Amino acid sequence: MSSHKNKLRKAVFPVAGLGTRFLPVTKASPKEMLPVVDKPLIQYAVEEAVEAGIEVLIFVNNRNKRAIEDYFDDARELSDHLTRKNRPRLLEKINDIVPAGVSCVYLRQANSDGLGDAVRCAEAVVHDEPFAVLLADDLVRTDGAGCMTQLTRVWEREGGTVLALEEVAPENTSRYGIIGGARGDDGLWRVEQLVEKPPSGEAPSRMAVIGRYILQPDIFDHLRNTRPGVGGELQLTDAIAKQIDSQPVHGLCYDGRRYDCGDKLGYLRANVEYALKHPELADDFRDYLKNLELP
Amino acid sequence: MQLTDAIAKQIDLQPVHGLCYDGRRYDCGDKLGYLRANVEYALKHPELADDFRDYLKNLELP
Repeated sequence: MSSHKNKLRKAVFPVAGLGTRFLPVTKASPKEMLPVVDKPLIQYAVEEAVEAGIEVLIFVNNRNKRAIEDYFDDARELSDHLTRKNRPRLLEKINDIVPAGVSCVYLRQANSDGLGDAVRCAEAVVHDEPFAVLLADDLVRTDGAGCMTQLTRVWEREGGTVLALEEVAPENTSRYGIIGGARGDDGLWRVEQLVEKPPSGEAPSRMAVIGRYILQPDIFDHLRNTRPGVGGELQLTDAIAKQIDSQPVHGLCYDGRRYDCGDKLGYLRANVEYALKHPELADDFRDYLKNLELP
Repeated sequence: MQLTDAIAKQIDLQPVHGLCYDGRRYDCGDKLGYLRANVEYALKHPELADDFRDYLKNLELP
């Protein structure tokens, strides 16, 4: 068991949110299945986790999210069809969604009671190992190593808890968990304080926590002892804040660009910018945009 | 089985009309057509049109 504490093997994907900001499209399918160009959001998050060495994908679902289980499962009828029609490239696309050696676990969150509650649901599968959490609606594009790989490198060197940070405008601090602390010579933040959604005047800094975390298993004890916070929901931020006294919490200003795909405009931007990088579509789409007459 | 082939069989029995409809079609069975539809519907969306237009105006194209 102890060897597992030195390697990050498990990642939790909370996917039980109701996606109310995207209604009506999210009425019957989860927001994590919204496509950015030609892949659903959840696949980008899974690829980022797998790149970072994650071997067990833990999805915290709700009762309406069968689509995600189906997506990561075999699609026998479809593969048979593509085999019969001799379409090997398409067959590869649907068969490589979960690489060999990676397994999926599905859990149910009975009520959508916040990110803290979703993470707590994963305790029985995570046990006593450190683990990652990825929120698929924060889509992070990087030129080099993915955001989770960047966090993992910090964690392998420093241990403890590692948060991904981004500087936000003062008027936006009320939308994020905000840290207080000091930035070391190595560029890493030593987190001394963590506040969920502070109004701009009360924020300890402008450094916001985005949807990528590496957590220590004692977070589950802290979650048990955390009362519902902002919005009446059990906030992961509040539980991480309780860890600060007992172990180091690091913050990394990751290298990359984040798209808030929980927001319609952020989601559209992601579509535009991923299409401009897409191997099959980039040239045609760029030409289209260049010739587009804007009102 | 093609619907077109079946309609062709009706031609001898009854009039088959064609209308050049007024409008713009997006072939959303094609990735590029689907992207165009997203862009142009967003540019007409009551909540998003202004912000998305400003975004596209300032977008640096490679």
